[in-house]
Amino acid sequence: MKKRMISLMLALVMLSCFCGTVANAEKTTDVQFYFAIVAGGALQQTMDAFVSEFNETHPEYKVEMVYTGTNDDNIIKLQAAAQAGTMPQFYVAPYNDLYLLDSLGIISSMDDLVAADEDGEAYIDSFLDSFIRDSYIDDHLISIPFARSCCIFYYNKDAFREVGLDPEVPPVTWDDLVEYAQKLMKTDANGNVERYGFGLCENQGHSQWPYSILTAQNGGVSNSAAGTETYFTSEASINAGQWWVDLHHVYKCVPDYLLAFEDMPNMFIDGKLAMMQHTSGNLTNIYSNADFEVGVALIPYSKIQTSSTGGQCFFMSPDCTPEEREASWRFIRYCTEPEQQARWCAACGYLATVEGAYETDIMKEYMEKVPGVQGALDQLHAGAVTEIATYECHQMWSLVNDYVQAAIMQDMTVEEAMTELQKKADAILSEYR
Amino acid sequence: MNKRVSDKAKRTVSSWLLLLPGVALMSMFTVYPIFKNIYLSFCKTGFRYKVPKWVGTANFSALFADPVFWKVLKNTVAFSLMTVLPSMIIGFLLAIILNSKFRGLRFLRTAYFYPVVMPMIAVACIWRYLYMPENGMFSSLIYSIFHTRIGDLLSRTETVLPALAVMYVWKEIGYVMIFFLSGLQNMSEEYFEAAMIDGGNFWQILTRVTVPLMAPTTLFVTMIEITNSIKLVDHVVILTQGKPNNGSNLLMHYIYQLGYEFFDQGKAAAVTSILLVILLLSSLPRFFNSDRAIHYN
Repeated sequence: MKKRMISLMLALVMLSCFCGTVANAEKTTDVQFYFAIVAGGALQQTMDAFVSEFNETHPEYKVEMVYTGTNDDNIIKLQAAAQAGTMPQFYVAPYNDLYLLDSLGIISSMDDLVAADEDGEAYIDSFLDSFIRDSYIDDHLISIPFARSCCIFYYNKDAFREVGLDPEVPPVTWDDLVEYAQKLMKTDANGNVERYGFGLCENQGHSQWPYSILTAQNGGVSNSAAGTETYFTSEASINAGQWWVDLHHVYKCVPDYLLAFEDMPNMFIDGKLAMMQHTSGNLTNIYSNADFEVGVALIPYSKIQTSSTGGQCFFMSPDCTPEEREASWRFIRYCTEPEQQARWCAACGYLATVEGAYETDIMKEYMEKVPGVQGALDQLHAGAVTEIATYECHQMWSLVNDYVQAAIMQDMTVEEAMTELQKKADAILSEYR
Repeated sequence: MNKRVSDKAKRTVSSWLLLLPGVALMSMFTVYPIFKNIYLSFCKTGFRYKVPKWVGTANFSALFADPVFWKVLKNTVAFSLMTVLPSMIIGFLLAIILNSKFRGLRFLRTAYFYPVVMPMIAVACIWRYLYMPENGMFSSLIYSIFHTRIGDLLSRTETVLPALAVMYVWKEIGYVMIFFLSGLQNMSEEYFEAAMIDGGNFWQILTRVTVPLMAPTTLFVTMIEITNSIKLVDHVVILTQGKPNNGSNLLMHYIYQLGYEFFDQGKAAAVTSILLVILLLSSLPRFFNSDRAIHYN
C-alpha cells in the first residue's frame, strides 16, 4: 500500500515537471503598468480595450493594468512601490512630473529601445513636435506622449455677432483681446455683469498653466531645461503677471473674482464667459453642450504665438529585464499607433499625439462632430511650451498659485509677489543644483 | 496567604490576557504611529532621502518662519470659532423644539439628522454646485431677490472661510442636536413641573433650569465639536484645496498637502505633532472639569 502511494507520488512529481517544461516552451513575458486618469468612464473602457486587444494579438506578452486613481494617488503608489521593490515595469504619469519621477529614481531612458527597433527613429519622428519635445532630460528620451492636451482659445461666435464683431476674425494680440473682451462685457439694468469678456483659470491649483503661457508669449521662460532654475522675476514674467492683474483691475473685462478651472466650461456653455483659455480636453463637452456657435482659435499673444501643453506620458521603470522592457515597449507602441491614438482622442477628447492619427477615418469623423480639434492641432503646430516643470514640481505649482492669486487679489504687487515666489523657489531648488 | 497571592496573580494575568488584543491593536495603530510621527518630525524626508535624515528641530523652525503656517493656524482657529458656537446654539434650539410632541416629529428629526449620515465628500460635492458663481443656486437666489451678483464666494479671501463654515454648520447641527435631545430626554420631568408650579415662564425655565442641567452634555458637545472642526479635511479638499492664496487652508489640509502633494513627510509630521498638542490642550478641560461645577441628575 505504502509503496504504491510512493510510486504514485513520484509519477505525479514527474508529470508536473513535464507540464512545467511544456509551459516553458510557450513562455510569455508578463508586465504590469500603473494607470491613473482622473475622469473615469470612457477613458478606462478604452484603456481596458487596448490592453485586452494587445494581449489577444500578442500572445507572447501579457500586459496587466493597475488602475491607481488620481495623479496624486498614482505618485504616492509609485513611491510606495519603489520603496517596497514592487515597481511596475512601466506607468502613465503627468508629462511634467518628469523631474519629480527622476528624483524618485524611477525613470529610465528609452534610447536603447529606439535604437534597437528597426523603425525606431521614424516612430519617434511621428509624434507632434510640441508633445515629444517635453519627453527628454539631457537629450535622453524618458517618456512617450500618450494622453496629451493643449490649452486653446474658445470663443462664442454668437456673442461676437451680437456686439458687432466679425465671428471669423478672432483676436490675435493681447491688445485685441482686451478690446474684444471689453466690447463683449454685458451688464443688466442694475449694473450687474451678465457676461464677462474673457476668462483664464486662476483658482484651484491651475494658475501655473496660464502663467506659463503668458510668460512664454511675452518672450520669457518659466524654468531652465534642467528643472533646477526658475525665472519668476524676469521682465517677461513680471509684465505678464501685471497684464493678468490689469485684466481684473484696469481693463475690468474678466470676473472680479478668481475663476476656478472646473467652473469655466459651464460658464462658457451658459454664455457667462464670451472667450476663454482652457484645456482641449473640454472640446467634446463644449461642442455637444453649447447652444451657440463655438469658435476655436490660436491664443492671443503679445510677442510670441504659443500655448502650453498638458496631459500624461508613458514612463519606464529602471531595473527591468530586457524581455520586460521589450514587452512594455511593444505595448506602448501599440497604444501610440495612429489608429489607437485616434480612438483615444475620439473617446476622451485628448489630442492624438502622432500626426498619422489625424488622417484616420475615426479621427475625420470625430473632427466633423467637433471641428475645434483642428483649432487645437493648429495651436500645437503654431507653438506650445511645457508647463512649469522643475524638481519638486507639485510644491512649485502650489507656490505659483499662491503668489499669482495674491497678486490678482492685490494683497501684494506683482513685483513683490514674484520676488517672494522666486525666493521660495530658490530655497526648494537649491538642493537639486 | 500563598493561595491569595497566587489568586491575585492569576487575576492580574488573566486581565492582561483579556486586554492583550486591545492593547496590541492600540499600540500598533495609535501609540506606535504617534511616536513614529514625533520621531519623523525631527527628520528630513522626501524624494531624495531613501531613509529619513535626522535634522533636529529644523522642521519646526522652518514652519515657524513660514507665514503660510501661521496663516493656516489662524484660519483653523477662525474656522473653529465660526462653526462650534453657531452649530451648538442652533443644534440646542432644534433639540428643544424637537423635544416637544407634535405631528410629523419623527419626520423632522430624521430630516435634521440626515446631513450627518451623508459623507462629507458627498455634501461638499453638492455644495460645490450650490456655491458655483453666476449659475449656482445661492448666486441665482440672491440675484433674483436682491438683483445683485455675489460672484464666487469660494475665491475671495473674505468669504471663503465663512462659506465653508456655513456648509459645515448645516451638516453638523444634526449631530449636536442628537446629543442635546438625548440630554433633554434624560432630564426628569419633575424639575420642569416644579419650575412651572413656581410660575416660571419659558425664558426663565430655559435659562435657569434647562441650560444649567444640560451642562455635562454641553461640555461634552463642546469638546467633540472643537476637535471635529479641527479634524475635518474633506470639505477643503473638494471645495477649495486651501485656495485662494491659502485663504481656506486648514491644519489638516496643510498636513495632507505637505505629506502627499509636496511629499515632505518630515514637515507634515511636525505639523501633526503641533496638531496633537492643540487637540490635547482642547480636550484638557474635560479631564479636569468633568466632575466639578456640573449638575448631574
